[in-house]
Amino acid sequence: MKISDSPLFIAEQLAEFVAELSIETIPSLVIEEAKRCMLDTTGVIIAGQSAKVALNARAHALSTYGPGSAHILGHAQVMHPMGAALVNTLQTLTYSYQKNGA
Amino acid sequence: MFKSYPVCSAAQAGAELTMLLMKRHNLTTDDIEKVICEVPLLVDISLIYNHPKSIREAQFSMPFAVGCMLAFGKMGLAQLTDEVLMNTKLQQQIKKVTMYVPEYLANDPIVLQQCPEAAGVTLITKDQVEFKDFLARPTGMPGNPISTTDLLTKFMICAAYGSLSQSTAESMSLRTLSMEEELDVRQLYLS
Repeated sequence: MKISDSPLFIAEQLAEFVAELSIETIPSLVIEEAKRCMLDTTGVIIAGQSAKVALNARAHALSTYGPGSAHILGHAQVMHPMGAALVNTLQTLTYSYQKNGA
Repeated sequence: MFKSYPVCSAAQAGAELTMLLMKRHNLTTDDIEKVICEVPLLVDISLIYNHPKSIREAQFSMPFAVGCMLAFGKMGLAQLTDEVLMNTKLQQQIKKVTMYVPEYLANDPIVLQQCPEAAGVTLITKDQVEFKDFLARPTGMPGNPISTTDLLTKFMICAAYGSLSQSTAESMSLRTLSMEEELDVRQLYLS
C-alpha cells in the first residue's frame, strides 16, 4: 500500500475539513460564539504575558525555535510559529482563567 | 465555558453565589460568621486545598475563592499573589468556609450529568440567621451564558493586566468581534 493510499490521520482529516470550510456554511450562532471564545482566550493570553513563567517561556521558545514572524498575542515580539504557539498556549494556561477550548 | 474568576471551574459557583447572597441580603464581611458550601463530588475532588499555601493551591480551594469574596468583594487576577494570600483579613475569612458533599448531591444522576460544578451556599450571620441558595450553573457555563458586555469587561481587565493600552485593547476587541470582515487575519492581534 502506498502512503498516498493510506487512511488519513485525524490531524489530516481536521486540516482537510478546515481547508474546505467556508464561512457561509457555518451557522451564525456558531460564528458569534466562536468570536466570543476568541475574545476570551485572547484576553487571557495577554494577561498571561505579565507572569514570570511567560518571560521564561518567551526566552526558551526564542532560543529553541529561533526567529520568525509569528506573533505573541498582545506583545511586540515575533518568533518562529512553533515558538509562538508554545508561548501563546502557556500564557493561556498561566492564570487558569479560560476553559472554552478556543 | 467562560470563567468569571481565575480559579478552577469547580469553585466558580460557590464564589458567585456567596457574592450574590451578600448583595441580595445587604451583608458585610463582618456580618458573616460562617459559610457552608454544599457541592457535588466533582467539586469536592477538584478543590482539595482547604488551607492553601501557594497561589497554585489557592486556585483549587473553595475557601480561598469564597474567602476573597468575603474579604475583598471580588476574586480577580489581582488576588493571585502571595501577598494577598497571606493577607490577615483574607486568612480570617478562609477560616469561615467549610465545604462538603451532602447526600442529595452525592448520588443524583441529574446533578452528575447536568450541573456537576453546582454549589449550594449557606451564609450564617453572627446573629445566627441563615441565608441560602443553590446555583446549578455559574455564569459562563452552558445554560447560563455570560453576556458579551461582561466578556468585554473581562477582556479589558486582562488586557490592562498584560500592560496593553486601553486604546489598543479596545481596537483588538472590536476587530475580534468582527473578524469575519478582516481580510488579513494577521492584522487581528497586532499590538
